[in-house]
Amino acid sequence: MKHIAQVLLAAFKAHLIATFQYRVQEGMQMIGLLVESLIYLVVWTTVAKARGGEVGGFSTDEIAGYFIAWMFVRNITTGWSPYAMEWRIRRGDFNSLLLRPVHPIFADTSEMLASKAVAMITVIPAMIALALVFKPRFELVPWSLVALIPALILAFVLRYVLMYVLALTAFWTTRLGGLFELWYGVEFFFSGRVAPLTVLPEWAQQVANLLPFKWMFYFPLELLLGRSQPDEMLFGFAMQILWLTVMVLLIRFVWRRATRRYAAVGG
Amino acid sequence: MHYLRLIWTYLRLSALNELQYRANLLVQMFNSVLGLAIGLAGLALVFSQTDSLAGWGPLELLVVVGVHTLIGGIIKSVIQPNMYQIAEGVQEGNLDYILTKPEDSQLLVSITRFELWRLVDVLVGLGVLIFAVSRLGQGIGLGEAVAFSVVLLCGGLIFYSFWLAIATTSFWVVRTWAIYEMFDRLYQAGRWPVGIYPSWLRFGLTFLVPVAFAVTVPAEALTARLTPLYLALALGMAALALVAARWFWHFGLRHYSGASA
Repeated sequence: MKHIAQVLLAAFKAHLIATFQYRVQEGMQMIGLLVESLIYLVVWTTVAKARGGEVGGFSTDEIAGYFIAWMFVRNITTGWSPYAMEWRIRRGDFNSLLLRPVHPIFADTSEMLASKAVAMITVIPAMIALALVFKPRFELVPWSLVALIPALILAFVLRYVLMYVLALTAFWTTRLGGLFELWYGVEFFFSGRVAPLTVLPEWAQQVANLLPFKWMFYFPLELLLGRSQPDEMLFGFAMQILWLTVMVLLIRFVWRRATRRYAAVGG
Repeated sequence: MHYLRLIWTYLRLSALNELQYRANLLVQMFNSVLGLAIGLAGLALVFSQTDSLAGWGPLELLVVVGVHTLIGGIIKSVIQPNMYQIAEGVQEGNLDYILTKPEDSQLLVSITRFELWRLVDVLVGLGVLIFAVSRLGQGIGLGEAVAFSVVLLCGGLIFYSFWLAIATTSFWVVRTWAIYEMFDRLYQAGRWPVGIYPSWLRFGLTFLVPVAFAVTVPAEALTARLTPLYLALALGMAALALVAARWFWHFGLRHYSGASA
């Protein structure tokens, strides 16, 4: 246990330094994130105005609040991209990682945390700037904010493990583009990224309840905005834990098979 | 004439190279159709809540999606691959081989790569455009068609200049991929008419990252919204951008000392 903690800390520090070295890059990625939320903020504000100030149960200023909080939740819940894994496998960088006496997921995880810590330095000012321009309405509900913390952690872990499972399929195909794109497309609509889920048609909202995406994004976002009822919160946590259990079982299964399959490209 | 032959030779070589990897065509078709499906689902979602978005009806926004896909295909097949190549060439030293050739350096770096299969997006975009325009009912006269072609060409040239300027910065900045990624995000803003954005963002999308000229203005030409002012502005911008990008490229070259020597 102590050993693993040391691994985590060392990787965290190393990556923190690396991230600071490429500040410009981080800044650019931040602008990308800002623009994505801004596009949909503007689109849905325009729609809400055309409808007399409401869409999907959100008033115009609540829409602004949704997409500003969106940035915060998105930065916390995005995991590390499966493309990186695909690249590692194809280039053969994975060979040396597999030889280390600790599971690569530990080093990967602390790298992730380091870049999130850095990203927050830019996300918060961006959120404040957007708030000044669009004058959102937030309602801070104390119990909801307390529940937000575990919900965010679970959402992050869930998305992260899910991406890891997806990335591991690179052991079989080594070319994954299509699969990921399909995945991102589905996630885009059913996680609440493109619009609050209440804007979706009834059947799509039902589907969203069953898929994992809502629990990785929309659920913590609603808690942050104080829009959840206590029973919805309990249901949300139950779904997060259910999906997480499924994914952890799956990752164990896939990992064992994947390493057996691994052919060490480029050795 | 000489330059046309040169372009043709390079294009043919790239195309022959791509033809070896035919399975990529299937992958590209899948991605194009998926991209279109996501775009259409977004539109359907918006129009399930309202009849018009800032004065644009469903079919008119479909025209915007068509132009966006079409231009996106051109960027991804002809413009972007060459620009990546410049950045990579600076890092790895390959650029020096191109520079020693006895032809115009800007022309050569702009035609070395051509991703044939990406043209699927151009076809998909054209298909969407034809569908949307034929349904619009107002019909397209010769005038509109010519105006559309002109502003589309201007948009393409403005984008090319913009990209060349970014690629030129790789003489000084080593890691440029973050810029490309940011650009991809910004280009997504063009899925919607720039008129819906607040004025400061509209300004940025018109003059800093010329999404407006590449997507919205051509779409306006097809939906009877184009004013002579914007037509003139597009022509002026295109000329200005080309001259500026060429000057900047040569400026960059003068400061480049080579990487392989």
